[in-house]
Amino acid sequence: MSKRISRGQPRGVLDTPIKLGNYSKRGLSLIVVTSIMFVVFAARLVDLQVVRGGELASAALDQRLRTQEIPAQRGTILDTNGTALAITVETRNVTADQSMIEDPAAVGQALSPILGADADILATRLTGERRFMYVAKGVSPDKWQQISALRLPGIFSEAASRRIYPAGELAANVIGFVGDEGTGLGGYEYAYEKELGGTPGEITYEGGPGGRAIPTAANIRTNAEQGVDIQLTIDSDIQFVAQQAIAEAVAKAGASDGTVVVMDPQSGHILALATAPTFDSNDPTMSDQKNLKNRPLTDAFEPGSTSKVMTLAAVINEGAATPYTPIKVPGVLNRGDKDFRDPTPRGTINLTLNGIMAKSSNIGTILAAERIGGRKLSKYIKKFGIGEETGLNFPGENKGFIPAYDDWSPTSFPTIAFGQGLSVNAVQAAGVFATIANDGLRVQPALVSRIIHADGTIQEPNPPTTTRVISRESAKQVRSMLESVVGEGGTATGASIPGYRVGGKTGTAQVVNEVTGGYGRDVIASFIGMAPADNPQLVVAVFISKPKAGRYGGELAAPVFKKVTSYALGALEIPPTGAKAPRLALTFGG
Amino acid sequence: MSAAPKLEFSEITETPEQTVTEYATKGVRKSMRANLRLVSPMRVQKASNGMFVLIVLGALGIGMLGILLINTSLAQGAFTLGELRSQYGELARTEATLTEEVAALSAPEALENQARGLGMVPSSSPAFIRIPDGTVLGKPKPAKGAAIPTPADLTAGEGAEMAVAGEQPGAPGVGYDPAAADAQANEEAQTAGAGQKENKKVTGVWSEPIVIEAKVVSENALLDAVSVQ
Repeated sequence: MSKRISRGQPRGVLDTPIKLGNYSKRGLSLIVVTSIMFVVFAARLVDLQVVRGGELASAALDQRLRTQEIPAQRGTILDTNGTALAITVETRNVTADQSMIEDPAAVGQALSPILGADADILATRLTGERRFMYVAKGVSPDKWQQISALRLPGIFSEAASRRIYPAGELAANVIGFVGDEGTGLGGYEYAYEKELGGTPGEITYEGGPGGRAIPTAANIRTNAEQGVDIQLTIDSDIQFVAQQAIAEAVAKAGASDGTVVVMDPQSGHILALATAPTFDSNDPTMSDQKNLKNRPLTDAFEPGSTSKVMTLAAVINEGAATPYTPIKVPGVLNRGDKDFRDPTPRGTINLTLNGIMAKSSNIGTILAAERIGGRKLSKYIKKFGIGEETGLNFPGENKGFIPAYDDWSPTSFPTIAFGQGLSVNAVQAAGVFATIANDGLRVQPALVSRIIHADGTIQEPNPPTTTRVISRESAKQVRSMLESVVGEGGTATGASIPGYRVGGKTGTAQVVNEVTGGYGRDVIASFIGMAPADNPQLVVAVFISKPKAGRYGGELAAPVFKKVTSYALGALEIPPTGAKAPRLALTFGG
Repeated sequence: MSAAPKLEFSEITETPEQTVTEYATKGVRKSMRANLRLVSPMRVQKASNGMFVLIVLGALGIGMLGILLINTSLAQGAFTLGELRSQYGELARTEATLTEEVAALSAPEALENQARGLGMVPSSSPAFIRIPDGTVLGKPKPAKGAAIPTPADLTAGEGAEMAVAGEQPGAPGVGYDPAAADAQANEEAQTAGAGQKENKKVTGVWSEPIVIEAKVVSENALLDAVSVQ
């Protein structure tokens, strides 16, 4: 009792002095304990807020933050008329949460008719304890709709896309193909991967425990950059006819392969680039690896007689001869310790320069080339674009080869003059004729006509570079000589198209045997021509490699030229000029 | 107690021209002087407790109602969003399906098959008719009809039977005999060709080189590709 203190008590009333010591001790300990607690709390607070503050806050945010990729839609590849050659369509991947499926067999039965897959195989994919399993990939949205209507427990789907090539094999060698991941692995799908693929975007948002976005919380969204559409210069219809014609000819001749190039000489646009055998872009793995390439650009070969056009054009442009210049052509010509012969053995004949072209005389061409010499000849061949990339930006292009003039051996000059000892790809070979067709002006070829961005802006390619190779007048003379080839007495009468003036040149080039290193029996039969010859709108080049039945360009390649060119003239509405073809003399004297 | 202030006051008022204010702001420029005056002591108003409770309750109520409204509108928005999303998904699916279908149908191979199915064959020689004077440009030839597959369902015997029965085929289809049609077309084309040649000689156009700009042709649609058959 004595310890109790009454505040109101007057001091004087108490006998014993008040013991304040107890009070102050208790209060002090309370203060101390409280203070310690506060210090601990404060320290913890400082620890949480200041020391580990940033780390904890971001960890908490990470728990809420969810990032989702927004896939970029791959661009379309179109032909020159806007027909889709490669499109990307939405598909679904059907997935399963095995732990949620009680009766896999029944679910498998239900899915089987829609997916067109065996019920038992499906059931095995649905049995087990895995939370995620693919049941089927690339299912069409329609089918997924049917599946989702069944409301099967544990069956889900995820969005996916699939690249389809509606025309299958059409221009597959140019377009290429994509891999399982949807990225380009061949052709322009590969070369323009960055442009076609676009850049995927992403959205980051704060989500609740259920995964749903918290509506009021901020979200960061980076929109996907959609891939661009690429419009090719290829005309589907001409491409189709060219592919059919070359496939037929290759099969008929028992050849290893064949190629067709259709070009607009004025714009340099390639309207068709066909090769056979080819592949289906939808299923490239079904084809032989060697058929996946774009032979017109990836294969270089010795051009043979079609190369005589370069030689004779150079001779005419240098003023060393005219189409009428008479040249005595012996049966055998010895140059560099080697005897050169013409394909058909004969004695000396009197040919005009025009006759040399029409009869495709090797000896005549050598004699004509000697009028300008090797240095000039090599300069012209390079100007025609041989040994130089075409500028088509195609992966794996073989730019051909011509040895430097200083490295020429004694037999180099005569062989290069008639098209052996140098190599070209099919587009380069067609380009030589396009130059002649376009009055001597070489226009860089093109396969992409424009790029269409996702926002609709159209990007035109830079204007093609042009090179003056021969004069307008020389080109005109060469064209009239090319008409003699197709005309009576020429090597390619089978290439003539009734009503039209056609000019061209055959070729039967020897192929180097890869085993022996020398020339064997194998040849590349070719025909490259233009129509209408007096105002050329089209250049068509046909090459048939290693034929078993038949050998000469005039018999194998010329009919393909005729078929493709006839169709293209009609399809592009190119009427005949109506002018009569000149009849230049092939021989002289008696 | 009261003497001292009086004394002080009287001290201040010793200069009668000076007011209290003037004294306080002595040395300050006239224009800067604040207009000071004496005020009565502040009257403290006591708010009633009942009023305060009401205000707080009101604020609370408004807040609750606001939250309710916001939540409702968010839920509504979510519903609309979900609905539009599924609608968008459905339309996108339809579009994808249709795009695929159109692309497949417009592929050259599919078109060719359809054309052949209708009994058409590719033309082997391009020719044009110039509309103003009817000149034929190019040398039209009848296309070879061997490739027509339509009447494949019919054997030659069946076709002959129908012909005997007096059924004249108007269009490729039942009873259509490709060989006979070819022969007929051939004949017609040859007659037509001969007629055209004569015509040309009369007008004298053909003997002269005709310069036709391809541009003009397409712009004026003077020429049209003609099927020779």
